[in-house]
Amino acid sequence: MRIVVCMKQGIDPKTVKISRSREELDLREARPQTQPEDKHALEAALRIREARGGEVVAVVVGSRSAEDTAREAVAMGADKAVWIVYKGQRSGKTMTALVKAAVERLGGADLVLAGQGGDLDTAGPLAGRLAAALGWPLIADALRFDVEPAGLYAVAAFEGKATRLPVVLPAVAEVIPGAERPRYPHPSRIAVAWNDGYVETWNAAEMGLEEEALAADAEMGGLVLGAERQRGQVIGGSPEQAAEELAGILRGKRLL
Amino acid sequence: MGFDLSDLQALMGGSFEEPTGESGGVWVVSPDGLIDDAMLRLIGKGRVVADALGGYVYLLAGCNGAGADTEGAIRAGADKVLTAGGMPTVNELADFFRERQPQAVLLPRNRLGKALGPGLAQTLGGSLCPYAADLAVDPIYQRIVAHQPILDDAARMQVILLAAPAVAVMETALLPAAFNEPWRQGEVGDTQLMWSEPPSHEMVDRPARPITLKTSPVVVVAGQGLTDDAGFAAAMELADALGGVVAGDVTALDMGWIGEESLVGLTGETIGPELVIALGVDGDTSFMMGVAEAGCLVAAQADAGAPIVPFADYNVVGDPAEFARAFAKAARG
Ligand SMILES: Cc1cc2nc3c(=O)[nH]c(=O)nc-3n(C[C@H](O)[C@H](O)[C@H](O)COP(=O)(O)OP(=O)(O)OC[C@H]3O[C@@H](n4cnc5c(N)ncnc54)[C@H](O)[C@@H]3O)c2cc1C
Ligand SMILES: Nc1ncnc2c1ncn2[C@@H]1O[C@H](COP(=O)(O)O)[C@@H](O)[C@H]1O
Repeated sequence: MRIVVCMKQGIDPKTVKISRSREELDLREARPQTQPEDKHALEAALRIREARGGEVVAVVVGSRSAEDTAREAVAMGADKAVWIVYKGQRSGKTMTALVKAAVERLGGADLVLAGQGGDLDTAGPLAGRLAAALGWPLIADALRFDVEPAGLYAVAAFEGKATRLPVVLPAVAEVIPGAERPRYPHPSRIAVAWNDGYVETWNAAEMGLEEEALAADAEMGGLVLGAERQRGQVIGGSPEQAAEELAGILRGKRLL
Repeated sequence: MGFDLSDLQALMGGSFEEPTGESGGVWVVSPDGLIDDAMLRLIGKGRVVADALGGYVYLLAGCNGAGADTEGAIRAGADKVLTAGGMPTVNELADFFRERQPQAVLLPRNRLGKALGPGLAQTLGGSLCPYAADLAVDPIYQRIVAHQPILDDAARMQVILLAAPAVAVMETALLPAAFNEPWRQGEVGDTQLMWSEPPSHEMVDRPARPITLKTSPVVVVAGQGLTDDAGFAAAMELADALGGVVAGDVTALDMGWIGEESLVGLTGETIGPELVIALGVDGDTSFMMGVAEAGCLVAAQADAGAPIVPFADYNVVGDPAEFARAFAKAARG
């Protein structure tokens, strides 16, 4: 069984500021980090491998510093990582084309896991697009996988609770942080992660992708600035109305 | 020369003419057929975009439009409401749209919308904004521009959706109130389509993340204003709905609701989670020191002049227990 985990090097949102005078993001102190949600996806993959064997391959699209994420995945326990060096605009369409080609070049996969994306991401959740592109079923909001004699089951968040469903392979799953904490890299793995043979470096041309297939479907425009943090706001209305309004505000702030 | 009402109605998109082949337009999709206030807001946004593009607004409602307030949808801006049986899969929805060539497809950002939007954009070769708080049309190129919240919605990034259809999965709670324009006219029709039956699900308990007061991203703090055990139970219910933990101030400790390990404030723990919801807490200085680092502080208590009010980001003035129950429901929604 081969499990591919899409891992991204994003930006630590705490290191990004907003420049109000220039109406743009201030990225002078921006620090790259492996997207924390993606480590949950890797953890889920490693647990499946531990229960039923197989191979876990991390796929990382990015340039230069993204290699750190590939090495980190190996240090955490991935059998190997594929680092796709890509410098162009990474729209959702582009990412989908690159990861799909990587899965094909690997000789296929049984399960592809991706995270849900961070706070600074405009490319969008990859899992839904990838499932459509591969023609595989999508498991949304997966919290955990159970390996049982009857096969693989997914436990997925569902309307405040969870649902358990059999996984028909091959499949794509979007993993969200569940009960299992991503493991820390083992010291011995950290030492070998930078050795030869663990990270393969590929590029779009090698995978037979033309520019057309990689052309961005969306483009980033300017920033629209919200109000500065304002304290002391009072939300009126009935308890139900206030609750609805507040839920909307907090969802917008990704606090719910 | 002046306008009469029918001119104005025509100008505002009030009169409906079937465009040939039903192509183009802005399509709002309710996969489960529900048309609640959230969907009406989404239709309103569709209306604004369609007016800027010069097209029609269609509402496509699954499950035979069960529970669908079609009149409300028309008053909110839909020119045509179409129903279908069952709930669509990505491929069924893509088949439906392939010939109609919509300019934009709007889905609510709930479980169904999130599951369908990305696949639909991919299958139709369109573009996607998976998380949109707003949509606009740029006046020069007539391109659809989504506004995506970043950094806890401190700013929004404009995402120009280049390929048609522009698929936007929209956070309806961030949209302005729905239109309610009784003079609007629209049609209701049925597609005669029968989509797949929604699959049944084996429900299980959601695996809990091991969280503590120090590590929980959400903390609900209980205080005196909850008055009794039923009030404290509402605080626990809210913490459960938000996936957070319950803590309390000194009065909650006195009431025996919490143990010392869950005391927040000068004598207890100092916490800095992403979100603190203080229920029935006045917020004297020794308490506020415990939550000064919170990313966002919401206070619900009865006194509009309480010390916590100017410190909290958001206040709800009223019965905190009643609010907690309503908020638990809204958060689960
Ligand atoms: C709001 C916002 C959202 C973004 N969303 C995404 C996204 O979803 N997916 C994606 O792949 N890229 C995204 N980016 C852009 C991304 O951070 C890189 O700047 C861009 O991909 C170019 O990378 P590179 O490989 O050419 O740069 P390199 O020079 O190779 O960058 C190396 C690393 O340095 C950091 N860095 C360099 N330049 C920047 C910069 N301008 N902004 C931030 N960090 C920088 C990044 O961490 C990057 O990984 C986003 C940028 C912003 C401002
Ligand atoms: N550059 C990348 N390399 C590998 N996987 C990625 C990359 N970008 C996004 N992904 C995957 O897609 C998910 C959502 O993407 P995003 O919304 O861009 O953060 C991430 O959690 C990853 O699993």
